[in-house]
Amino acid sequence: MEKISKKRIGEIIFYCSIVILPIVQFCIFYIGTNLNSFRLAFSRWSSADHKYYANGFKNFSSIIRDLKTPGSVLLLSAKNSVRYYFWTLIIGTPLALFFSFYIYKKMRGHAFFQVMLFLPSIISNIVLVLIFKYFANNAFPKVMSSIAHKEIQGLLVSSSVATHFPAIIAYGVIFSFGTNVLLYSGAMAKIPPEVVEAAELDGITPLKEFFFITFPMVFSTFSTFIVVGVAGVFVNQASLYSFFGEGAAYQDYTIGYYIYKTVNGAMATNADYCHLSTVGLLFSFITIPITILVRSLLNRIDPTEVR
Amino acid sequence: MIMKKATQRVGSAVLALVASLQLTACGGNIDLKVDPSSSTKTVINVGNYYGGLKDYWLTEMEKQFEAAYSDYVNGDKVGVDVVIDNNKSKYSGETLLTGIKASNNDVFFTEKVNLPDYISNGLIVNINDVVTEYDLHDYDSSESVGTTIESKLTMGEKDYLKGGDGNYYALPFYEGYYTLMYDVALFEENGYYFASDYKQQQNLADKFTDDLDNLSDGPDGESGTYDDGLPATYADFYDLLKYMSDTPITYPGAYMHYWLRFMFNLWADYEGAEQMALNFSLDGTAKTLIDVDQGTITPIGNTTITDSNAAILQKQAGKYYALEFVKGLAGLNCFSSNAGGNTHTDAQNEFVWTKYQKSKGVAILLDGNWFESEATGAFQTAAISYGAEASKANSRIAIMPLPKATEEKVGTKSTYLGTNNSFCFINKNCKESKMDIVKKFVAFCHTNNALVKFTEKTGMARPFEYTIADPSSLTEFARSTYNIHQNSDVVYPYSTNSYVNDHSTVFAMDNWSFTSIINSTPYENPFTAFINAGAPSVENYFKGLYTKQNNALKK
Repeated sequence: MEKISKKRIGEIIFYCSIVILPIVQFCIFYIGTNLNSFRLAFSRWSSADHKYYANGFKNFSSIIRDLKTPGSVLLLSAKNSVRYYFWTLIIGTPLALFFSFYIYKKMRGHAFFQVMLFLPSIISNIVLVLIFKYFANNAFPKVMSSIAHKEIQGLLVSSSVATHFPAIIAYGVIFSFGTNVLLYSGAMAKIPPEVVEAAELDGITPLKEFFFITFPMVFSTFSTFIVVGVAGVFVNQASLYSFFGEGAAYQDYTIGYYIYKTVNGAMATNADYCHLSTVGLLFSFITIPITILVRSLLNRIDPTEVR
Repeated sequence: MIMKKATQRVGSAVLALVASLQLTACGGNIDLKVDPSSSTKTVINVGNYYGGLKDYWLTEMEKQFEAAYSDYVNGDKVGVDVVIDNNKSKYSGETLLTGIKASNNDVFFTEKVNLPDYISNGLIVNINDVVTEYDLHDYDSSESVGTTIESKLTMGEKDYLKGGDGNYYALPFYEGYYTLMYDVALFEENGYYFASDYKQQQNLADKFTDDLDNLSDGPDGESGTYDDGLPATYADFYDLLKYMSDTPITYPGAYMHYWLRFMFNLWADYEGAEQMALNFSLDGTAKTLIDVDQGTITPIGNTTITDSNAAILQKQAGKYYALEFVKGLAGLNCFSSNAGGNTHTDAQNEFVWTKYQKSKGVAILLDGNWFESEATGAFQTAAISYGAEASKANSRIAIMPLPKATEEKVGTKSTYLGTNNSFCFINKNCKESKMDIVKKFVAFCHTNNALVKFTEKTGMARPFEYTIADPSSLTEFARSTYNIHQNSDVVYPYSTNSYVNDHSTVFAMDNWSFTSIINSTPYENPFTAFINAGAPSVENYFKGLYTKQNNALKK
């Protein structure tokens, strides 16, 4: 057997000492907590004995019944989660691609757009929420009044619940550009310039260049965003806690907010953990196959995939 | 090559150092304050929830206790040093529950605490001796000999403070509730008081007077009391708002749960303490249940409440009248234009400042009864700009006693629903060597003197019997709080019923109180529902209360 040199042993020890902490952290805070969620989802809390007891699938059947009940908060939250993802995907993704292409092609004012679109990624979410709230509640009604001569209430005030969720979606779209544009721009920058030059010599228009060269070549980045987005549909709080604290209207709830609000509530008890673990697990069971399906579909249509 | 290697090593070392910073998250002492100069004294570490109440009262207790026990001998230490650590997030809710095990704090004054978790997990000390045996006369000579903390405890839900062994483990901290407060100076200047003969007047303006010797009896139905001239019923309150016209109500629109929790009190006030307590005990006879059909109210009759029919408590009449009250308010256009976007501090600022900025200021504020303490900053700023008259000490703001739902209820004792789950308890980590003095400190904080100081410093009351010899020395707000404390019942949503605790999500007050479902649309807050377009009717909302909770409990 080859003798391991002292130097090699030293390297291994150094490497292990660096890596051991994140591994332990991963084991406790990811594997451990998820295993605990499994346990809690099949348990019930007895406040009389202060103990957990096995509860079979009763937690799941209770939540499924809830989801089948029209008007239940859980069903409403699930619908809102899907709605939020759908609209941010339909509006946000094309716009992010457009802005990234604009910056990549160094069109007029590209540096300005690059800075402005990335700025929200640097600024704290709470600050952005405050800015947006003032805009939505104060500036927007004034603009509508002076330009469109239409008197409207603030979009996020308590007496205009109907406009809350559209405003939240708008916030989600506008302030998601930073990361999206950064990654798309980075992917576009890796496109071999010779390919683009050749296409330009053939007289390609910018629009055709986008659809036939740029987009296919950044498709892997695009599909990563889609897959990650689908996986996180029921995790996304949509910044509701930043906007409304614990006081969001039911009509605004997402699953992410529902879980966070319940566990963070003043009187959250061990009984709530069983319920919430079940919610988390159930929606994971729904999301996992959909994510795998979406990923495999995207892999199928990936134009750069070698078949 | 050598430079490259050196750079690599230095870079790796820096990365390793940065990575090791994660270790700071691994437990350790969550407390920061230890006074090194106090090594000659016994140190009592106090963790204080630094919310609206701040530490105005605790610093007073610190001074008095240190002075009273300056000769206290404990081993080689003489004297006591009370060290207060103020923090909001550390000393409440889930953060405290997980952090208390590593905490060196001996005593906590907290909020948002689910007490059974602390008792069942052995996190806090049995203080049964402090509550039932310690003679408070030893700590405050104004107390009668033999007075115990338990004998003064006004909180009805005493069992909640006890463990399964029947011993006390905690004491309630403060009597908190959401309510309306009004600007007394504005009321006097503008004559917003009901005249003694207001019921005989047809004209709205003739119902009101600025003559303080000619006031109506108010909600308690008695003349010469603290609520004279104030609206006795909901109908009177609407008349007041119509008369006030451009001096409306303001509230923190960013926190609509303030309205929800204010409605707890409207509901409780109609029901009274005994009927209200059914919602937490599920044990007794409900006497106020009603059905409503096309505006006709039909009493259901006495109903025995058990775990299996708990949902029927959604038909308590107090809920219906509370919904009617809020629906009526929503239709009156009586709110400040800023209210919808206000945070709680925005609303406080508006309430304190606007009368100096406009000819008529905002006259009524919806807030927690910790308003005076929490708005200290608003008062300070107002005093700088508008003089001593605007300071907290000279402010003329008081809590408005709750109007009654109907004429028949005028004269009945007011009932409030306490919120915020605030408690005082001793940490299990408290060293045995100082347990004696720590328990003495807890007892000291519950003497008549301490309770009077609490009201004086915070404008709030604690759920104990105590006497303020000279209420005129208090601010107007503190005096109104004390009056309400003396003349009202406060019920707490604490339950030892295992069915309630096993369904904590359903019975949590924010859910159990006024969440409803109408035609597959859920509503979490009646006030939000009624001020939005397409508002449901009170009847449908009321019917939806039962539908929602019945469905939730059937699962």
